[in-house]
Amino acid sequence: MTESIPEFPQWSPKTLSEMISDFNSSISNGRLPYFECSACHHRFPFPRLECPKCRSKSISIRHSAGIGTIYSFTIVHRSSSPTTRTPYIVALVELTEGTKLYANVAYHDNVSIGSKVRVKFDDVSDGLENGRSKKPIFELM
Amino acid sequence: MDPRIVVAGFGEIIERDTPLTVYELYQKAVNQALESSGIDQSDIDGLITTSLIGIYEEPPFRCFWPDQVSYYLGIKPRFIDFVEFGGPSYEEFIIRAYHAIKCGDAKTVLCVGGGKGSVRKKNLIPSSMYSNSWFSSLYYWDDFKPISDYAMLAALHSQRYGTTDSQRATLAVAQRENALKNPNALYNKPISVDDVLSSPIISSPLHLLEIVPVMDGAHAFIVTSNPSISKNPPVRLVSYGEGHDPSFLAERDDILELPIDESIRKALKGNIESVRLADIDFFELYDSFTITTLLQLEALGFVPRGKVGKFIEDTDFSVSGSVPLNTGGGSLNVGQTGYMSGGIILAEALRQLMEQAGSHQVKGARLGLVNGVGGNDTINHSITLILSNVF
Repeated sequence: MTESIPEFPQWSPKTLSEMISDFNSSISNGRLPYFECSACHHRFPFPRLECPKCRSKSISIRHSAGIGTIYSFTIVHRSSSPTTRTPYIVALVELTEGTKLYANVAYHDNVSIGSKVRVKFDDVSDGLENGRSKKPIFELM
Repeated sequence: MDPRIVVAGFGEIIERDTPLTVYELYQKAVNQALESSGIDQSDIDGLITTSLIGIYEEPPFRCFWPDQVSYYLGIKPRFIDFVEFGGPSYEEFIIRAYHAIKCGDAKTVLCVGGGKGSVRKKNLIPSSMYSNSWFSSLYYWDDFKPISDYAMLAALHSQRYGTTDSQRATLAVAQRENALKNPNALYNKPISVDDVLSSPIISSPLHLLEIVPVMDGAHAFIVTSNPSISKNPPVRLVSYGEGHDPSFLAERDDILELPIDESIRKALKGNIESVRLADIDFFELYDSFTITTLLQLEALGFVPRGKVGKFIEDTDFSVSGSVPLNTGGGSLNVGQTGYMSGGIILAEALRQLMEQAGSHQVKGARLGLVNGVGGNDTINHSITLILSNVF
């Protein structure tokens, strides 16, 4: 897989709300976002206006190729919301770009630590969830 | 550390599902601490408390909490502090109280915390109350925090070091055996490794019998520079250590590198007295899940990293054993009040050092180690106390 390319090279959000909104539109458009500091190249999964490592304000939103390995995971047999069907898999996925993400992985008996996974996007059943119309879910490659 | 500053009293209230409000639970714990020690409320001139969202009957309870506690109890502290470390807040209380007294801000500090697990279990508080727009709004996944996070620690520990489900289950069995000697434990039947492994898997690899039962309740602790106000044998703080890593699990390079190592290392090294592991008579380790205790046993350095599974199989954790651990059965068997076990393990350590543990007393206990862990995202804080009744 080739290195992902920056989608918004000139992107300079003014506020955290703007950044969260872009994070949400990326996902609604079927892209998996992460963030990279243009100064020190630190990559991180959650929106922040300044780099948590070097304080630079030059942060780019990037889109992952959506491929990673399972760093650790658990099969959950209790639901935390009425809409969640059990069992389901929660994992920390290490993307090829180097950041780790929390994510759900489609249920499969062969899921294990080190498994290669690829993201797909499911439609959110009832319109929007936290402003997003899609939900990333990983599946075994 | 100054041996003139001591823990002189404590109270512990544990209820399964109480109609009492949190105010009443606090009051009961404070009353018990005062009555059992003979300390007069008028002696109290400092207050430290904690809070956790979702453990009170309604969200506004959380605001200005130390003020609310003062109003309700009718105390006028000249020193106030508030600790928000989750489970280990209670261990931190003792450190903060010690320093406040040492620098002259107070003479006798009341430390109190508690809450109602039943509130959260009944979903009385809407989940939106737990959210902050920055992190929670980003959630595009379902999880079962904190159990699913600790389960991922356990899964990685097994994969990396070969730790087995049976080895974790052996720890749960050992703690249950200790609970059988404690009349205040919730559970009074022995269990086997098979019982643990055949209990339902809640979040793999963690089984139901590896997970703390959540209760209602409160704890109060009184720290003073005037031990003569109490009829309890005084307990002094020999040393302490803190470790903090308030970062998201997803942003840590290695999720098994935890602040527990740092807090324990600092406590054993001590400010004035260093303490040898072999000199410690008993251990009260945070036991929200079996994996939690297992990680602390490893950080204590009984065995090198990764070897704790075999250590659990080979060690007698009973009150008369080589490593007395969670001597009343731990919160796995006593229950976790208000989603925080820190009070449970500290109260048990004091019971041991004040020789009030009765049928589960560690004979001749002089030095005990308490370690609390917790925080917003898995283990953000680890607080270690080494306590003694020898002066």
